[in-house]
Amino acid sequence: MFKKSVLSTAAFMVAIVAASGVSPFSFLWVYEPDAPTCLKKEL
Amino acid sequence: MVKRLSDYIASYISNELNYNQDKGEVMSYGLEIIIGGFLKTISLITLSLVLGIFSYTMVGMVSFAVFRTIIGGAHQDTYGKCFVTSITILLCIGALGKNFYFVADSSIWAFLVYGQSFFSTLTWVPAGTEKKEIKNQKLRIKMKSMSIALLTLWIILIILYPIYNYQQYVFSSILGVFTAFFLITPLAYKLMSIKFNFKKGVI
Repeated sequence: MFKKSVLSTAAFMVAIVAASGVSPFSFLWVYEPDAPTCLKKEL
Repeated sequence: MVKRLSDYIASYISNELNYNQDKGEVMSYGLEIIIGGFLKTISLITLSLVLGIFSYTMVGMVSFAVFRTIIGGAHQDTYGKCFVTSITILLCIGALGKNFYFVADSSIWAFLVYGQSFFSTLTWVPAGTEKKEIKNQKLRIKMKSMSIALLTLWIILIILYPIYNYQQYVFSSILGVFTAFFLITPLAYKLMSIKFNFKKGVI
């Protein structure tokens, strides 16, 4: 149960980073990996 | 390496939490950003400390990164190339900032860079890549406005340096901003062998 909570929290935080990576106001200055299709959007 | 490590961790988390493939891909993408950025930041901090240019490099890096997140610009096509190029550029900024900050009146350099950046903002911001291109005109104008507002705030901070006595860092900051805006020019894209049609997104 504890392990699942920790992993869920980590997954949520990683998902926020992933979403910010495709937002118009965060051109990644460090690296630009291929965004997954489900996150891609027309800007 | 970063991609493989991200895929491995994402796959582990997805299995534990019974995520579908889409969620797994999002995990992997987010982890790639985090791990890639972490490795680069740690390497930059370590190398700049070893070379004795830490504070100058950090000022250059922050000045570069703040603008870069809004204005976009050229990217290398692999993590390895990106790692080497950006670490080299930022260490050069730190070294030049430390050794040449006294060569001329920083205000003159700052105004020259402000002019160059202002022109670049009107012409190319936001400068996209094949992976990310902003075509929405309202959004483009918003990003240009943000860039100009940030540039103006930056030049005010530069003008105020005699009052707050941070002259030794001004040149590093100027170099960081210059580099960020240089990387949105067609010349930088050409130097990095990146094919991108600038005409498509220009307002």
